[in-house]
Amino acid sequence: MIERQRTAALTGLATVAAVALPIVQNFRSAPRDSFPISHYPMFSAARPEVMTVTHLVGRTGSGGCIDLPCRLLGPGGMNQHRKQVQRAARRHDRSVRLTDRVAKHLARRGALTEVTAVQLVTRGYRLDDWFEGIWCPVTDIIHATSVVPDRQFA
Amino acid sequence: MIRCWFFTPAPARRLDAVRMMLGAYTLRYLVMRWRLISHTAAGPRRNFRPVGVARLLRRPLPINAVKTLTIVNYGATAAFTAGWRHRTTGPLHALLTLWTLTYRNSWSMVFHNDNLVVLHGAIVGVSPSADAVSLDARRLSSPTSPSWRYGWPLQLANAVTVITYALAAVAKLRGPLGLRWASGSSLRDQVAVDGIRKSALVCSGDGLSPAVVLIERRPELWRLLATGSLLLELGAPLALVDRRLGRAWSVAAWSMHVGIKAIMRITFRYQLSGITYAPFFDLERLLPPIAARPLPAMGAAA
Repeated sequence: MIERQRTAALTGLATVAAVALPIVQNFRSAPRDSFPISHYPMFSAARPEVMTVTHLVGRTGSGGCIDLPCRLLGPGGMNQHRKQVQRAARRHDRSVRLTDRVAKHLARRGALTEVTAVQLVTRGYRLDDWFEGIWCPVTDIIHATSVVPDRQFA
Repeated sequence: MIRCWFFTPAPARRLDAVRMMLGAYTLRYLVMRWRLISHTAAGPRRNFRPVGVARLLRRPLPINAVKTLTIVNYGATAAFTAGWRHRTTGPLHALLTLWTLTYRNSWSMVFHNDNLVVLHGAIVGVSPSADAVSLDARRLSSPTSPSWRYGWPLQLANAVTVITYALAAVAKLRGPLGLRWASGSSLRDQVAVDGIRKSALVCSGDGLSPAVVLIERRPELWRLLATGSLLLELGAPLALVDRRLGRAWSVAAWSMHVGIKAIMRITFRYQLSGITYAPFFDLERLLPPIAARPLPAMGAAA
């Protein structure tokens, strides 16, 4: 327990220096974030007009396409799943493994019965469209497709 | 001058009130995240990207070790909140909360709303924050007069808070947009990015929040909000100059987080709870008055 002025002053100086020091990350070519000492880069990045997002979609028997929630991937939060699918999309074998897993999960659970195939896609969405309520990708890359066992894929 | 500021006397009850609020918040926050903490740590090893003190690890801890440490942290944080054996449980709470949240943040991305919980926990954990209203204080005589011993942790907590805001402003100004960040277009883009991610990954189907619909009708509001938040962050250190200014800044900063929640649906829980800014306020007034235990008079018969 800190009971002496000198110790308190040194603790204060060290803490302030440690918390303020990450400012130098802003002057580096590859800033590195950490925890709990951070340079707080959130919301500072420039965003392109069209953003890409890798996610799961389900193909329906009638030829339609619906977005699948990332919780089908298992435990974890949205950001963890986001990184997981991004990494999977970099390698075809991983993409296939991931869609296979989700397709089998749907079959086992008997969930989303209209979905006949699961796809891992990277889609581009125009930021302005979001404000117009338009949910339609402007680019679409399919990384892998897995048919849901025992369901007819059109 | 800085020395005078840092050692401004404060009543023990003010620091104790901060300890109780911070401890109760942290305990609730960690308990509610039991599933997230334990499930995340059970994820694929390739998802493990250690940050901070977790970089000491070469591989993830066994899941049972994570669960045990989290449960021990619950105990330490409960004891810290109650002010029970504070000399031990205060620093223990600080260390375990640092560990629990650092480990959690090593599995996906750094959640910046956790930083101040850890930093404030460390400051209050190693300071004499259980001298007046605590289980420990029942065995000891409570100090009645303000002292530097209870002032510096509050001043340091406030300093740490404002530095984090100032750093966030510098990151924006040093980022690719520079001063153009204040135009509001970046803030608008960020709202869209966040909404698109949630729609694609969570399939929330929430669409635009009512606040965004309102702002879209008057686009100049994006500029106003961006400029306002940048000035608030950049000017944060001024909150240390005067306590009244500090309180006014606290209310403004809290309002900014309310706005972020309404517009971006991003919840900065610790900031929204208001406890982040608690050291700026005379919290002892919220506590019920306690009868001062008179010290034995000099020469009085035992």
